[in-house]
Amino acid sequence: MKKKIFCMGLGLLSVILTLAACSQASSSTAAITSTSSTTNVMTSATPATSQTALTTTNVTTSKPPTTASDLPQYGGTLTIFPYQGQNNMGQNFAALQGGSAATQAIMPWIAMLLTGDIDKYGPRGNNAFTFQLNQFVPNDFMKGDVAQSWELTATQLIFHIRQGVMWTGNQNIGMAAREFTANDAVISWNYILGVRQPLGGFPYIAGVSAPDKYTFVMDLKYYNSELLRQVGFALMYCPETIKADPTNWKNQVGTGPFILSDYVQNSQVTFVANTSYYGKTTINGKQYSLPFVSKLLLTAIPDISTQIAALRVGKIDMHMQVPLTYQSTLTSTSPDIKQIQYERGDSNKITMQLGPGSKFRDVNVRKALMIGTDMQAITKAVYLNADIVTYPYNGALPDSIHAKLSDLPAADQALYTYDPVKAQQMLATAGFPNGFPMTLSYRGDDLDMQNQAALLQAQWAKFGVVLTLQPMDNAVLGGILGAVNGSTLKDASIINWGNTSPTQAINRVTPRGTNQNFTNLNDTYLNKAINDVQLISDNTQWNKMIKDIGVYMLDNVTEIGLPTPYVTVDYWPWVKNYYNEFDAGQYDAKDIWAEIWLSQTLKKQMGH
Amino acid sequence: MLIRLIKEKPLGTAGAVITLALLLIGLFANQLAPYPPNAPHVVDALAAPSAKYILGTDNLGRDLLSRIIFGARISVVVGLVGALISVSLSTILGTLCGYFGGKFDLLVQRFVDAWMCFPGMVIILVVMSILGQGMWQVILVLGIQTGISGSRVVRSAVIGIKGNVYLQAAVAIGGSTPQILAKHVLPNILAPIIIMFSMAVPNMIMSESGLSFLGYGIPPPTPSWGGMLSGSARAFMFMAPWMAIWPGVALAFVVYGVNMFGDALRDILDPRLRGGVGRYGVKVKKAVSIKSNPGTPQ
Repeated sequence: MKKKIFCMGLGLLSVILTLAACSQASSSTAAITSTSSTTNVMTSATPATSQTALTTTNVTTSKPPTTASDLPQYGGTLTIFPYQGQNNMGQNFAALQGGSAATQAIMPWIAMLLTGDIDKYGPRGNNAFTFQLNQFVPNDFMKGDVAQSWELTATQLIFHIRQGVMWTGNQNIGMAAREFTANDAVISWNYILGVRQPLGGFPYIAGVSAPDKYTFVMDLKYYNSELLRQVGFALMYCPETIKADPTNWKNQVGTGPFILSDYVQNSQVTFVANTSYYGKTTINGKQYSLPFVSKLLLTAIPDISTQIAALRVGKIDMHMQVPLTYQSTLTSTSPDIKQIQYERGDSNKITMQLGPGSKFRDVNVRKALMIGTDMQAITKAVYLNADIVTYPYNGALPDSIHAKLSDLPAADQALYTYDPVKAQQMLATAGFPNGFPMTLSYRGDDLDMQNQAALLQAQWAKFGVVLTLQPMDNAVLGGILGAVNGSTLKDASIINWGNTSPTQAINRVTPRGTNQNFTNLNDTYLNKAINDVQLISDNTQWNKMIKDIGVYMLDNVTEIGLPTPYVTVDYWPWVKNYYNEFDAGQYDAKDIWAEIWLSQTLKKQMGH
Repeated sequence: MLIRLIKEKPLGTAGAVITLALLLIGLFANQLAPYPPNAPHVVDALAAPSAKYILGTDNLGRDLLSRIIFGARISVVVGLVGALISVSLSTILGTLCGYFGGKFDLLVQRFVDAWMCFPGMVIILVVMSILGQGMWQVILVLGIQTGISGSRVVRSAVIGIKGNVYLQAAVAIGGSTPQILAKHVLPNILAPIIIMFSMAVPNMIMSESGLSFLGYGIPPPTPSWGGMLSGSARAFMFMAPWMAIWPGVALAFVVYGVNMFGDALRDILDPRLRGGVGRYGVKVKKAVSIKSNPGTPQ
């Protein structure tokens, strides 16, 4: 018996050792050749080799269909794992109270006044904008949605409502399908303002009215450069839904391409096609009514490995956010899956206490810490691949807004060149020849932050900054950071922030940012600049000023922006007419999903 | 005892060797580890096992062998100190309850009943989320959590010897309660206490690993085997399986070894099992063979 136990133990050990040795075959050094552009399509070259080679090619735009199987087809069920909102579906409908930002997981039926013009300006059009940011579309790239057009004057924003737009109706609240009118917009906006204005939202709106059935007028107290986005992308509520209860999913009524038909909390949202949807698209000279698919499933699977397994077997047609750690496995096991690499909308930042008495008020200290941060190491070790985006904006923003690193002066570029010796010299000049001890807090449950903190501890120790790492519960850390403009933050913290809207990125380091100004910064220039820029109505001037403010923030290292990670959208080849966009407004992918059609023939050919 | 262990309990001996090795590795981690455990070598991130990095590296390029060696130190400290707290608490509560009995015993044991009703992990997670992450928090929480429920075993042992004549004699000659407890009760319940201790050590190591795996244990970057199994090891599991394999192997070895050692100790120290009729049945077979041939001439 003893011998048997011993032999079994020995056998088990041998198996483990053999597995470990064999695993060298799937070596870590998956060579990823990618450009710094934000969107790449990757195709696997040689699956299941010891080094998985991924080549990248630029996305091509609007290819005309070439074969019969490429002709658009109606029908089928499109199953998507959305990139946002899938994990807290229970909160999504509660968030509908008063028009708070909804999530991509529940948007496909909702009516909005405006949307992003993906056909004209997206990758399927002239490729002027990626449509990969979840909260920001430049004013230049918008089009009417429920509103057909709009006019902006000094005191009014006038929307001309599209004729023939239909509310789909809802038996649950006893509502038949009927036309959307300007009066609906008035009722909806009065509801939104009643909830949001007491909380400080939409301060520039004086009131709303409907002079006729198809004209909706918003009276303005003053102009705000954000108003078109904030008003245009706000959710429009059906009056009957407001009366019933807008937070109950069964009461929802919309005008969008899909109709909400079922909802299982934290599991799945089911939509059916809205056959009365007004949207149309033109493919190869022929006009088609939208949407193409007859059913849309947005699924929530908590575990990432299970999500990948579901994608691999074709249970999910499209996964909107696959971490790069799964890239090589997917490429080798399912080489047919298409992978599009893009920059995630959020990134981590090191936010420092910049209030009175803090040593971080000295810009040289902040610059030293930034120069002493090895961005390349973080890119490789934490994310496998990431974009070193110039702080404070997202790399997916157009060049007119976001200054690229290569376009910046040498002094600014030097901030991204890792040099611990120079960092030590700068600290010495700032009065810290031997460095100093400091505490770095971060979310204990965030793996990226854990890894970044470990790297920073090693990197900053080289020039005498001794980091005490303080992992904290998310709620506790949020409380500390959010308390009275970050005044309770001890030294520094790693935070995660969706840096998709430039004005939000600026707002965050001014006292206007209220509980989001974790730095406790009160900078005269920035305080004035954020006020001034929001009064600019000319898009070119606005872009320029936003760009200048960004460079000022980088010059002054108001925070240390860490690299923005790449993730991938993965989808099967039978998903057609998809051009790598994933947001046409604020968490709004309904137009993108409405344009997708499924090649049932190809799906069958591929054994699914 | 050592000779008996080696002669009669080979698996227990192997367990003892593993336990000793764990202690030595933990003690001499600084000398044994080829690299500092938290030093990143990003250029060599996710390197497979090689001559340079015997067990490979993790995603930050940290040497896994060094981290496992330093992880042993954490396991040793958590295992030993946690078990010490646990057994001490069990001994104090159990001895007092068993010796005094009456209302004191009734009250304390109802509290122990209530304590044991709650799933251990729930209590631990609640307390850890209040105290925050850290090694001493883990030790304290695990020690107290298991110590209270363990008092039952000690109490039973005390009740078992309470009626013995030598205790009555000690009372009759005027021995004070502390004297009786220290000189007559404790020595006679030492065997189950030692066994409890040997069983508590692997339990502590496993619980610490479980807590670290769930993100409530030893905070990174401090290397702990449980922590090394979760986090990055899960994220990079398909690219670098060695990140999860080696801490798992180390954990399995140590838990197996300490358990075997504990089992062997129990067999040797328990007077009722004296004579070697232990779970491995070395002498049982002999006894059976003698019984099965009663007429065989000796």
